[in-house]
Amino acid sequence: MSDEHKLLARAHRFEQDALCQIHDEYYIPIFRYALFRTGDREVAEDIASEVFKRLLEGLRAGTGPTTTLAGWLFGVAARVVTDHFRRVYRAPTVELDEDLSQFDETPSSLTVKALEREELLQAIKTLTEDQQHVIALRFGQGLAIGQVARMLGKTEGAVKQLQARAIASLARQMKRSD
Amino acid sequence: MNDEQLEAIFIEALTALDAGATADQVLARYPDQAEELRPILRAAIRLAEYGNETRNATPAANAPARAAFLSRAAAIKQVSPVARLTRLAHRRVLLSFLTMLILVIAISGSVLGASAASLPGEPLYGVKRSVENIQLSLAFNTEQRVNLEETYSRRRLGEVKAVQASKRKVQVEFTAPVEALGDSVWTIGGFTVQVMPDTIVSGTVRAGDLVKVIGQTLPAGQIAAERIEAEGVDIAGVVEAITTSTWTIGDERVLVNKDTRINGAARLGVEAVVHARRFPDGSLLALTIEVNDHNLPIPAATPTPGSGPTATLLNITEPTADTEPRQRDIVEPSQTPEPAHEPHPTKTLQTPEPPEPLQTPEATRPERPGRTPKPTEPPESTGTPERNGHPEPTHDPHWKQTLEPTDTH
Repeated sequence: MSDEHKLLARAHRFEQDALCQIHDEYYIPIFRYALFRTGDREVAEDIASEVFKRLLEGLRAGTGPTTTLAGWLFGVAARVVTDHFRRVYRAPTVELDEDLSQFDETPSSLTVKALEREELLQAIKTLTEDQQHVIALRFGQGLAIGQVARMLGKTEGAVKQLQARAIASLARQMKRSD
Repeated sequence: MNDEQLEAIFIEALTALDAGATADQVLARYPDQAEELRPILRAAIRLAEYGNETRNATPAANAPARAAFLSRAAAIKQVSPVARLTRLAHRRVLLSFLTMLILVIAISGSVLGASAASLPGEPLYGVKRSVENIQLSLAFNTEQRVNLEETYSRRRLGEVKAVQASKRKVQVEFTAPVEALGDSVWTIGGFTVQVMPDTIVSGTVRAGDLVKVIGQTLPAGQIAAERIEAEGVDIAGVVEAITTSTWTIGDERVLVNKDTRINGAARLGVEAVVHARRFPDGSLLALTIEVNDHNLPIPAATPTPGSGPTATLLNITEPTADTEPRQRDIVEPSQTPEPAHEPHPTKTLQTPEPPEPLQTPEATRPERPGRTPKPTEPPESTGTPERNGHPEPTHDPHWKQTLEPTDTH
């Protein structure tokens, strides 16, 4: 039995140490995944907390992760992000004071970078679910093609194709807005 | 060249970029497709830059999120056997259960309605409590159950007030925080509670602790306590191990969280006294930790230094002072602390880590040893398959190389 399997077995028994370890190990990566997808810190924290809430519900109901914890958590994170966007589109709000300081950087580059970032984020949101998930794992988490492929249960070729199409789509949109 | 061939070149170009080639080298490799490739590479570089930004971000509320997560887990663990039983009951005896329910509603609808307003000591009070227990066992989820428990807890306090006003002598039961501890009179949840020599006090009680009181209302308005049950215990012993989430005092392991107050410098090998809350699963959460970091003698009931790594429950049966939070502890056999978990591997740690509450801001928190590196850490190697947990990031930030703007036209 691998360490991850043992950890999962202990998590299924709701052993506090195991749950602590999982939270310590994955909360920040999941937060960063959500931040990459949404560009909003507060929303990203809410999403990360929701993912861990669903983890507990999954563990209780027996529908939680059984083999790969990372794959399960990022998969759930992707669904929670999608749910979030659906809610936002259903009830759009006008942001009057957009927070341009979501990331730490020098004030001089702040505005230009924030605008570029916003443009990129809007372009990312037009990609397919799979494409968004792949580029968030590749560029947001810094995972290699092989790691993403194993996590998604796809071939490396399929992941490369998803990534290439995503980037081509982004390039087209960035070209249009230039 | 058709779209498929162009896509194959895009994939090759991105793979080359990933492998360490610069944008200019990639463009030189495909001179005929340079025009199509340039915006692709630019988008990839922009994505990599954005990814680097998010990889450096840290959540503001990591510790509260962790505390909320663990507290939710503890609540689920506590109720899950009931939930399982409920599900089982639903599956196996759904029909007969529904039939019974309809009968109960039809026959005793009026009884149930009348029981809702009943008070302790009245004939229908038992029915009221039974209905509450049924509602609790039928709660769909933890949240609903916790909400119901809170409602019932408030209801108990209201009942005690109503009974007090009627000046009857009635058995009552309620849970409330201890506000003041006197010699024989305590204030609990706003009520004056008489603590008599034969009152059984289990656990260690300090001001602010939540306790369950079982007693009788007296005509004068106070409550004569038969039993006071606290979730608090005191543990004294030598600090054997310290991690971000647990301290080992002697052979007792206690959890720490952001609310744990630690007085004194956290060090291995010194004596400490922990006031902790015991959860139904046996685990202990430290509320306060007093570290005896000056080698001063600790209270008489604690083991003397050198008596071995044995944690001791403090038993102070006779209260001595009213000014300070008082401790009364009659430990029943069932409450003898037992380690809820297997010995922790961090016992062998040479360098103790300070527990989480002491570590702010979050960004400066050291990573736990032995952890799989997180994506924020600089990539150490590429192509190494991940062992467990979060896969190691192998993506190289060298994609940051920018294309000259003049290249775009």
